[in-house]
Amino acid sequence: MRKTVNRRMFLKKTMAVTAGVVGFPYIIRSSALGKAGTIAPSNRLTMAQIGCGSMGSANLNSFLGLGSELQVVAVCDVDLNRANEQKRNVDNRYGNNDCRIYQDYRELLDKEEVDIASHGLPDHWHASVAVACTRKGIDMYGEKPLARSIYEGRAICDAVKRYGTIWQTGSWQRSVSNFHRAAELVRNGRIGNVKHVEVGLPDGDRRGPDVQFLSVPDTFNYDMWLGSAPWRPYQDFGRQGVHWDWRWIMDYSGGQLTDWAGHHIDVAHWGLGLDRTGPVEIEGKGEYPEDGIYDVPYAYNFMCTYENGITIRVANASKQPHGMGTCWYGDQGWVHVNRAGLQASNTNILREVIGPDEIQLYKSDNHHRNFIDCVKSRRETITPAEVAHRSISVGLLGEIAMLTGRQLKWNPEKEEFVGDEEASRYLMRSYRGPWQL
Amino acid sequence: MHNYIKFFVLFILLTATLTLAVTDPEVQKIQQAMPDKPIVHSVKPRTMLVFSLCNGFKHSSIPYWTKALDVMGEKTGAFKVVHSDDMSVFTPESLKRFDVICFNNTTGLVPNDEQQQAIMNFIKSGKGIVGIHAATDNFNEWPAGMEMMGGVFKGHPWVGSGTWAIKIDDPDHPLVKSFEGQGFKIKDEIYRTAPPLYSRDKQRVLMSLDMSDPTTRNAEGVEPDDMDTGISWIKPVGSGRLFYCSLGHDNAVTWNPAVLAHYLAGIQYAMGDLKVDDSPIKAGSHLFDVNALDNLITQLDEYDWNKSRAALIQIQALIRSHFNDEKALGVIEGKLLAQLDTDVSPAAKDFICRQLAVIGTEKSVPVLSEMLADPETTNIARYALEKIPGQAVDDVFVKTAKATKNKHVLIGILTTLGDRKSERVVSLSREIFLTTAENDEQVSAAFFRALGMLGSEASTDELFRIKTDLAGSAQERCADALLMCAEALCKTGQKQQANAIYQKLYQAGNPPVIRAAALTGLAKADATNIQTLLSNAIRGEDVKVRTAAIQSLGYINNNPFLESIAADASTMPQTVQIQLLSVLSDKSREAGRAMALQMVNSDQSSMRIAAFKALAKTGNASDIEILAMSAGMAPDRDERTAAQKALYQIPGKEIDTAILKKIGDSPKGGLDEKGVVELIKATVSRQIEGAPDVLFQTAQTDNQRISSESVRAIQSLAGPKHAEALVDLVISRPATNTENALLVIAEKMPNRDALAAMIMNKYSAITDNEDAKVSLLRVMGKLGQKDTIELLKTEYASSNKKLSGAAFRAMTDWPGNDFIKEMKVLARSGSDTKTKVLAFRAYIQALETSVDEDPQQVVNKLIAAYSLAERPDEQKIVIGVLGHYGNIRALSFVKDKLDDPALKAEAEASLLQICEKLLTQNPSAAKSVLQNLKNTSTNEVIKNKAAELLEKKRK
Repeated sequence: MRKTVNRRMFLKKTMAVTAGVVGFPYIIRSSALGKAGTIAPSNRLTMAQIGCGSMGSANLNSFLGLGSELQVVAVCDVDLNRANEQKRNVDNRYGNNDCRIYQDYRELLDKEEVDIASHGLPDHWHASVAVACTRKGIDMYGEKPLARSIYEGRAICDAVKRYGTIWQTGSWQRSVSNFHRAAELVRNGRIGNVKHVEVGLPDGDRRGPDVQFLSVPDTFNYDMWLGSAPWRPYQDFGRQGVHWDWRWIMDYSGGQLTDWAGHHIDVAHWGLGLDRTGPVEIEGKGEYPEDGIYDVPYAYNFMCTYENGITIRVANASKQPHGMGTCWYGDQGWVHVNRAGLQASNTNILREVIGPDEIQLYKSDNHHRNFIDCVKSRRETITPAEVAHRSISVGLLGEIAMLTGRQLKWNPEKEEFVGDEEASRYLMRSYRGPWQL
Repeated sequence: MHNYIKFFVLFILLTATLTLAVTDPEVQKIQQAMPDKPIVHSVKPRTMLVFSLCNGFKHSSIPYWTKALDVMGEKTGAFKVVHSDDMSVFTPESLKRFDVICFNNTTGLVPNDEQQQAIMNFIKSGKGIVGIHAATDNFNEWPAGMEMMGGVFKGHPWVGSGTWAIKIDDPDHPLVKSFEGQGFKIKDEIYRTAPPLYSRDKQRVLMSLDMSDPTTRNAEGVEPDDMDTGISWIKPVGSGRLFYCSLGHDNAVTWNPAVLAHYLAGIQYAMGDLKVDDSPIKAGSHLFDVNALDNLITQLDEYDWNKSRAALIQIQALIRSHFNDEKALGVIEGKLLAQLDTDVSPAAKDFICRQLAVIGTEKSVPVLSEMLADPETTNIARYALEKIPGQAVDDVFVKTAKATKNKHVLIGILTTLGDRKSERVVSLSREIFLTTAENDEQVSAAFFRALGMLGSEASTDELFRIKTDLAGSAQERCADALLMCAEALCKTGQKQQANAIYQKLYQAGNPPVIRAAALTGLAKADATNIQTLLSNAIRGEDVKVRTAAIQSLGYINNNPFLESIAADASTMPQTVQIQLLSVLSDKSREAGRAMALQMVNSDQSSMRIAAFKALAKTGNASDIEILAMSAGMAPDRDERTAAQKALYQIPGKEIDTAILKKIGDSPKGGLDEKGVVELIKATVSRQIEGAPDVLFQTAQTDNQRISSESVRAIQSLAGPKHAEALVDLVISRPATNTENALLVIAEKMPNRDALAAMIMNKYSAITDNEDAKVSLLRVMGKLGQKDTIELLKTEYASSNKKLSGAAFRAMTDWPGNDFIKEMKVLARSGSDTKTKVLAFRAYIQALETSVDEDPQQVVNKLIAAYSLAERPDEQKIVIGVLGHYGNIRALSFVKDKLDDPALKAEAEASLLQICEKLLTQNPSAAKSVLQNLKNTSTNEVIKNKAAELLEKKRK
């Protein structure tokens, strides 16, 4: 309210003079420019969208919005209703009826020769589809988290390296200026030596719904939806059903923790320059529902220690001093960032300029465009597979530390627990036949 | 804070009441609950010293225990009791007569060296020590004492108001006979027993918290180490014995028959009368309540996917809390296996197998192997088996793979053998690949993958043996497996073998994706002929192979070779050039720059953008001009941005020097003004030190764009040492931008008196440059340094209209209240409306900045000033400013303005602010106005805010 009054007021103190002193080069978003002319169809990148749910369709729309550099030729979903919906979306955009529909990605890969594919799938499906596409030499935009287990994440990284494909992960916060800025300030010592980082992620659900059996609709290939996960009958997963609420069941996801690890832990790593390694010690406690179909922790709180002594505490936002987001603590101050913006212990930190001889972090203003640019230039994207793998590994290691209830020693180079056979059993979940990576 | 104080007061009250004597009915309860005979008859008369001194927290249960132990001694005849709370009792001499020392909820005991020795010698000589509840909250400065007790206070997540589950770890032990092997729940406070002081390796733990109970497990503040929290324990110390029990914070424990019997047995053990096994149970098999486990496992009989999972979750918790205890896990595994062998539902089998995946051993193999062979249960059996280490498990996999007629069983086993990196897959493939996989793509793919995962020479040979006439996806899968083998061989240093694989896969005729991967592999493994292969592939026809070759340049560390590729690039298609440039510029500054400079001249915008991006990493000082020109003048916006970024990012101090030189030379011509402007912008983004010296010159040029960009850069880069140059700049270029630059620098100056003096000196030295004087007066006004007051007054009084006007404006800008009188006078009697309005505003501002004054006086003056306000605009200002005061007179004054449509909006906003501040001092007045706003305002924002404030107050 004070603003309303002040707006009408005249009190122009020296403040008015100093405002606007802080200036950064204004960088134009390439997506805002609009490209002149269109590109001949033969020169366009052909694309398939695999998984047409909430993230799948959102990504698809972002790609459609990039204009004529690419052409979406096929969509795929185990639920034909969803595939049909996105076919209509694509066809509307192009004014034709050309977009092909598949229910099985293997059939799509057999029949279509696409340059790029984007997947928006439940976590337990990430690795199989990613590796299958990569084996075809297809460049990929894959949703975060990279994979459901550390072992599967490594398999994706290996495949991408093997086939030299371009990989972008849906950790889009890296392409948003406040996250880039925060990480760059921290990397360049603007808060001194960093000792500790806190990462606040959303709360989970305390208890799932009562479970009812449902009959599988004709248009939905439920067995394929289950894929490599252990079989269970088709059931009511809760509020929005199987297509959304898989994320509270450990066979398919690790809950909010693994859903968000690919964002705020990813950013934490970025600012530390530790995004191609991992912690050496992990310890913490999770709280799990006492009953109901959901079994992921609704509360989690674990501490990771890195070889250089830096610690990261990952916990529910409600238990972190700065709430949601990433907060780095150095010996000369702190910087906190989340989607709402950037804060620091001293606003002067935020006015700091990063000079040309300092560490310039990878800059991207549009996550999907960055992927397409890299497909063309063959540069690494802003969130390549290895980096995404290391981000989600922290979440997955925390998950294992909480499940085993003890301090774990981890070798981030070999990606093995040190002397802990039991914990090692959690590094991968056995695949239900006939599915395999 | 309030809660804390409340709690504290309550706490004092409780302590005060409860330290009163034990009441008669309570004594009766103690007597009734007490065993009526000893556990064992003493061989001789026994005396126990009950010591109850507290230097720290004093438990209210102390007098209850005092009484209970008296009753125990009398009723059972097991011992006599002597009480003390005097530390001087701890001498060898006075301890002689006692058989046992009982620490009755003592806290903070700090025995001196002699006393420590006396206590330690006492127990080690063959006597006993008994501890009740807080007895472990002592000896903080005496490590051997804490070690003797087997624990020290580290908090109590299980608070006294809760009811917690206890399990009997050693059900057959005589000391816990009174519990009849059954765990129980009890309302009491439980101490954390943190390792390493507490350890089952050092003491025999008889009871501990039952973490399979959700309430107990999830108590606020429970940490991972708390999963094993001991309740009572015994151990030999020298020739003597220690008995400790955590129960006894709550008074009611002293009339709990089972606990009293437990204490009696413990005391008699400590006395040496009751002989029991007191050796620690290392990783014992009785660490949980077996009955409780049986009960949980029985519930699996009824389990199905749509049923409650509560029992399952408790079993999981039980497993989790015994992860370090092989014997306990063995018991659980056995019971789960027995249950698995019955006809429980698939859902229950699924659950059991998931647990066996975590805790299963070779003991599980027989039951699981039967399930593995059955197509109905094969997947879930494999879920468990896959994680169980050992040759026996691989034997079962191989045997089942050979025997099965079901393709899904076979595929699953192959997947698992692959994940286990089992060598057995080689011989299995030799034996059954032809019969099972030849015509089945899925089965052969599973074989390929398993052999690839193994990644040995033997698996490579086997892959080549079975790789005959493959096509399509089978060919891809087999090649993928060979690539995996090559990677594994590289890792173990067998590069030759790896290269042999890559060379075979790179052969012409293989699918491009495979050739591309093979070429990448050859580059990674640094094959001898790699340069020829790469340069041929880059010139070749196949896009996939070419792209792989370009990317693979990243693995090559041979600059002359990379430069030769760059030199040759101009003949290649544009897309290839762009890719080459992006790889080369990361690799070699020279090669990248050479190529970028060629591409800068391309007629394609995309080529030029790529070139600028590359120059950001590879450019040198001589590229500045082209980048500046492109940043300023390129037709395409993306291109300008790319060039600008490059200008900002090229590393090296020599770039800074070159940029300054170019700017300094610009008045001589040569570079277009747009290019110069870009270079000036770059001084800011690069934060170039020493730039202001050059910029002060360019700020003086006649070119308006260059001049104002220079001033802008100065404003950002200059510091206090540039103050004089800035004042001179204002004098030579009097304008808002130079004034502002000076004011910004002034903000950074610790001593503005000196600055004001300098400005006044320069001011008086100015002859016939009125504009400069006007500018300096404006600066003085905004600066508000008291030394300039007289000068402003003098100039205001001068006959020069321009200077007088400027001085007046300076006085209205003044940040303090030094001109309050002048402004008040002018507001009333200024020569024209404009003067009156300006003076009025300045007067109100000055009033508000009179921080020393009593707020009531300020409010009174503001209200008085309202009568001077002739127009609504000025009236609104007064109303707005009144909003800053939580004052009752301000409230009633502003409330009256609600009826004036011209002022209503301002008055409502102001009232909200007043009420917010007034809510604590005068809630009734504030609430009634807020209520009124909430009901009558037509502005939704105001209504909501009023409602919000009322709600806040209500809470």
